[in-house]
Amino acid sequence: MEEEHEEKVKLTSIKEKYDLTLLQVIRKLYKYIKIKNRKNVYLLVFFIFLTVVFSWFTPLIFKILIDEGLGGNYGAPSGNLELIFILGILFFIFTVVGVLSRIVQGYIISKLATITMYNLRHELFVRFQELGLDYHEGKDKTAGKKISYLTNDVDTIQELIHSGLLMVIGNIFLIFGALILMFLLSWQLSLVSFIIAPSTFLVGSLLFKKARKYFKELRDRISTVTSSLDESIMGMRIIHSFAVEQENLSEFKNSTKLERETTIKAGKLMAFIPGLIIFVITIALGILFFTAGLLIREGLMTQGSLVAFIFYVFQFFEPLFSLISFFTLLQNSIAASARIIQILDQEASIKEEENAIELDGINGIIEYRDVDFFYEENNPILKKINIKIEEKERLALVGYTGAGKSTIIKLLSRFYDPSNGCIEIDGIDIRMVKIESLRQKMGIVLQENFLFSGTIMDNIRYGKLDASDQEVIQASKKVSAHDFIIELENGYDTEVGERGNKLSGGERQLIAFARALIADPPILILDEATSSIDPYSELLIQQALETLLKGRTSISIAHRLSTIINSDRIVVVDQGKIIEQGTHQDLIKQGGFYHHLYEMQFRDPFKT
Amino acid sequence: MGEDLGEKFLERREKFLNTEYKSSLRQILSYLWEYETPFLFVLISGIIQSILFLTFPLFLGPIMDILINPSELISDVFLIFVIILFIQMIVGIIFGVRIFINRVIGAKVINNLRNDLFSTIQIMSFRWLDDNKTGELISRTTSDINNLKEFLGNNLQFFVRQLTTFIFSFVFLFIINVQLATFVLITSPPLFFVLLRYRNKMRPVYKKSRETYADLTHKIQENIQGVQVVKSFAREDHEIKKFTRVNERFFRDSMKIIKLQATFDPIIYLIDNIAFLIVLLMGGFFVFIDHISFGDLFAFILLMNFSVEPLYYISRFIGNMPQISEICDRVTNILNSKVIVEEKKGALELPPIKGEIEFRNVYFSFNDQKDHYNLKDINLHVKPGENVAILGATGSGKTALVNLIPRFYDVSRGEILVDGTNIKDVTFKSLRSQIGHVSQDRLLFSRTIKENIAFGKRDLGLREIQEAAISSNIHDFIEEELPEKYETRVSERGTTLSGGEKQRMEIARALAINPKILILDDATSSVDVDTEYLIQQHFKKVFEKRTIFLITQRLSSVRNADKIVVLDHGEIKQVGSHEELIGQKTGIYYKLYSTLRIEDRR
Repeated sequence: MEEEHEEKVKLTSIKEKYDLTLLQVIRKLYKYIKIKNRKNVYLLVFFIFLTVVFSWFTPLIFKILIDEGLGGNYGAPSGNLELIFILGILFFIFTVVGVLSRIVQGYIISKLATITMYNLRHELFVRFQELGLDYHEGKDKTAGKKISYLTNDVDTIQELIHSGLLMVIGNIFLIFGALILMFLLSWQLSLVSFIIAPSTFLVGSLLFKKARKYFKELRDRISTVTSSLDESIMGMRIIHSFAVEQENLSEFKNSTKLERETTIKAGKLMAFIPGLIIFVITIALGILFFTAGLLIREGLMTQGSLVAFIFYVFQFFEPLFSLISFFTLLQNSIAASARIIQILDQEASIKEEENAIELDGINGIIEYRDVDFFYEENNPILKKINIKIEEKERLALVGYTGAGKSTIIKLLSRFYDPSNGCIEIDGIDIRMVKIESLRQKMGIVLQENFLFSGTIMDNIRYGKLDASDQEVIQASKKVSAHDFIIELENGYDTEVGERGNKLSGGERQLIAFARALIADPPILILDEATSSIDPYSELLIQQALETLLKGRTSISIAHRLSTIINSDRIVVVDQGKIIEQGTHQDLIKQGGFYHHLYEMQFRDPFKT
Repeated sequence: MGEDLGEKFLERREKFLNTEYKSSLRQILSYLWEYETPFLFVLISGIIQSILFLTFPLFLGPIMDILINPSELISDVFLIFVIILFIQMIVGIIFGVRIFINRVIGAKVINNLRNDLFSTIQIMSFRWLDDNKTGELISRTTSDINNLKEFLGNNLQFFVRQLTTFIFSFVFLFIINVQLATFVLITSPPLFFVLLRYRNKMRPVYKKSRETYADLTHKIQENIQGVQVVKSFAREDHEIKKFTRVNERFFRDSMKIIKLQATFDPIIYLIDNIAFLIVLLMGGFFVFIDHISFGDLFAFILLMNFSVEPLYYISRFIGNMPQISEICDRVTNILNSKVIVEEKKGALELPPIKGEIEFRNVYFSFNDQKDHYNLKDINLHVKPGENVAILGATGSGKTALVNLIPRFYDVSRGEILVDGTNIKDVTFKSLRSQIGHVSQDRLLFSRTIKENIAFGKRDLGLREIQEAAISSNIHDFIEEELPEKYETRVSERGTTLSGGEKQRMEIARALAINPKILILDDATSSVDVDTEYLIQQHFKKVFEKRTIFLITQRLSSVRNADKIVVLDHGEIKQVGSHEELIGQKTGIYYKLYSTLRIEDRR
């Protein structure tokens, strides 16, 4: 639960920037998108230009229709019915072709955007699988961020393509075409409009600039309200248990009051703007039409030209606005693309040797030889680790949190590679072995027994994908999970819920045991949960553990005394070094660090 | 806790619980109706504004005719233009006033609605909170409320205005020319129906694609969160295969939408253009035979644009109504929820207690099932200052037992007495403010450390806060590790603190109210061994003066309790001190203790 909320918060607060120019971004993305069918792109460009050209000429039809077909200026009606007919048909053809080309355009663009989305997401997902734990456990790589790369960022890019990365060219041509044609129709009217239009915008943008300040304030207020809501609902039980409902409600009401006041404040300004804009536009249009009327009266312009002119005004401004909004979107997308590219360019740190071998039929003798591990040389995490673990030996690692125990076991399955020294299994350096074959020889049961949503059956089978139902049940029986499973409503077909949250910690652990057991690995690695298991479950697990460990070489990071005592050898790790080793009795007798740990954990704090 | 929560809220709640609404939409609209007069003003002024706005093209026609005909007097134009300007000025003023009033109403309505929703959630009992997922509740109060804000504050009014615009643009079209207007009128219904049909067809497709997208996100989420498992079983290829399946499904869903769009868009475009074509040809012909003036045709075409646009909007509004109803259903569902654990009318203040607790024949069931009790026949007497440890497997009812004491839930049968008073007879506030409760939630609020510790008692002085922190062994950490010590803000949901630190903060929070009864529900499970030892050492002081209920995972912590209660399937199997229980060789306690061999390993 808790972690989920963390992620939600972080999803919204991703603000990273990488230095990539627009061109680099497009080039790199294009490489990863891998559009196989270039024909579509060419087709698209063709249709965009077709639409542009038709848009250019359509208003001219109206001009000819009015001026020639209907007989031009007032007072001299001399129409041409035949021409009207021809132009009508021409307009119809233009319309139909326009419609068809729009269908094809829209379809191709959407399809390209969707394919991009699909490919990009696929590439990213595959890359995530290739990247090692060093990447995934990196400090600033929270799950929330990574999820957002694959969802939000990919969506942004899809939207970018959809909303017209390729339409930009068409729009630019439309704008320039309209501009030229407007001047050709009537340079006088064009001049007047290009004086009026910007001044209208100026008034508008001045007002909006002022409004923006309020809107920013409003957004902040809204997010305060939202987060206070989120938190109150999540902490509702705590609020109840301290009986502070009154205090909480008044705090909440304060935040909503602030929001309401800001809304009304912004409302005052917003009330002013549209009225004023309508007013300004009315005056502007008045001037425009007045000028047009005069021009027509003086014979400097025809009626048809006026109609066509108005169409060009639209053809000029519409694409202009869409270009402006497009550039805002573009800025967001560059950031998103840069993040994605950064991941795609990332190299996996653990790589398989080219002629890596399969690891087959091993006995399970493990040897750490002078193993060092560090991220920065002056801050070593492991120093000169030397351990030899015999076939079927049970080894327990003991020490404080952060002593390096987890690193020792992670090196064995090559989640990381040692900085110095090497690790051998049956005398073979594990770097010479195929990673998949190495990990298949190892069962790993981790502290957090992550279960995937799905049934219990699915989850156990994750350890051996082709296992039969019977095998799954067999494995569950061996780790004494069977009894509790069949007591559940749907037995093995019970859904475990998100991260297995419908099961208790102990039950999840048993399922993780079954999952490891079914894979039947010669080596078992165990990272025990600290203490989230009640003594009852511990009883159960202890027996299961015996079954699981039987006949295998095992390394456990042990917190439970039962695991420690039953192991053949205990290795005590402190600050990256092995400081003691031996059996429980030996170490207690030595009276060293282990003895202290043992005292701490099992001494009764109430006795002095 | 009732009367101060806001009288308006209680008034409305009373009304909601006693009124049968025909639909949830009506219930939500009742919030709007509280501002009946200004709302009607907004609607009517909106209608007037739309009509006045439409006169603009109507006047442009005559202006054009005068301007382009040299025989007309140009000064006539100025007169018309002054009229237009005057009308548009009125439009502007109405527009401004209307928008302002609308904003104020909108802000108030939403504020009321959200406060009520929040207040309702706040008076609900634990069982209700258990039944309603936190995430769901949050999306009710945020995204659903936002949608309603749009609907009540904008869309509803806009819809009325668009409808007016549509109707009156046709009236004006008919005024200009009946024949032409008839042609336009004929094309409108098909356009409208195509639009509506399109939206109806689109909705299920959209819905499905959103669902697939949710699956996709879920898959990604699981893969990333379970990356260790994926890696340790070397299941990368398997994961890619599974992901590809969902990804492909989403691709197909997206393509379906695209295809629908690609078919409908042009049809709409075509109908739109055909009307225009007819008007242009017919109108041109009419001008040609001098049936209408050029200016009239010009005004007609301008008006026509105004008449078609509302159709898009109206069809969208109608198409969205089912979704709005759904939202209203969800919101009113919360608003009309009944409180399960209620404070008695005229409940008494519980005077300061000594900390004696008695369970008498207590039965409890989470779902009020008569045949399945989560706790059965609990009889337990705890003297002031006694330390009680509760042992039992997951699901044996440990948490349920302690949650009954602050009345988070009500007993199904039997009674619980605190200092001889039935807890059902006293106010929540007076009961709960004397009980400290540390749950398994590990939740801190995003405020300062100081405020977090003083969460249960806001007027606490710094010294008392520090004392609480010292007792829970977090004081040193606050002083040494945190940049602004007690003034450090806990970032969103306490994420900058580790699990153990959060837990100690929670213990400090509970200790700060200086409770006579302290409930520690698995309170020290994520601190490491040394820290737990230290906390427990501090606890010795804390424990002495208080009645303690302790649920823990560590047998070693249980031993010194005055009473150990062993629960099994909701029943008390054993009660007694460690020495007593260890003597009962057939009991569960002995079995646990000996199997885990706590003693003889020394």
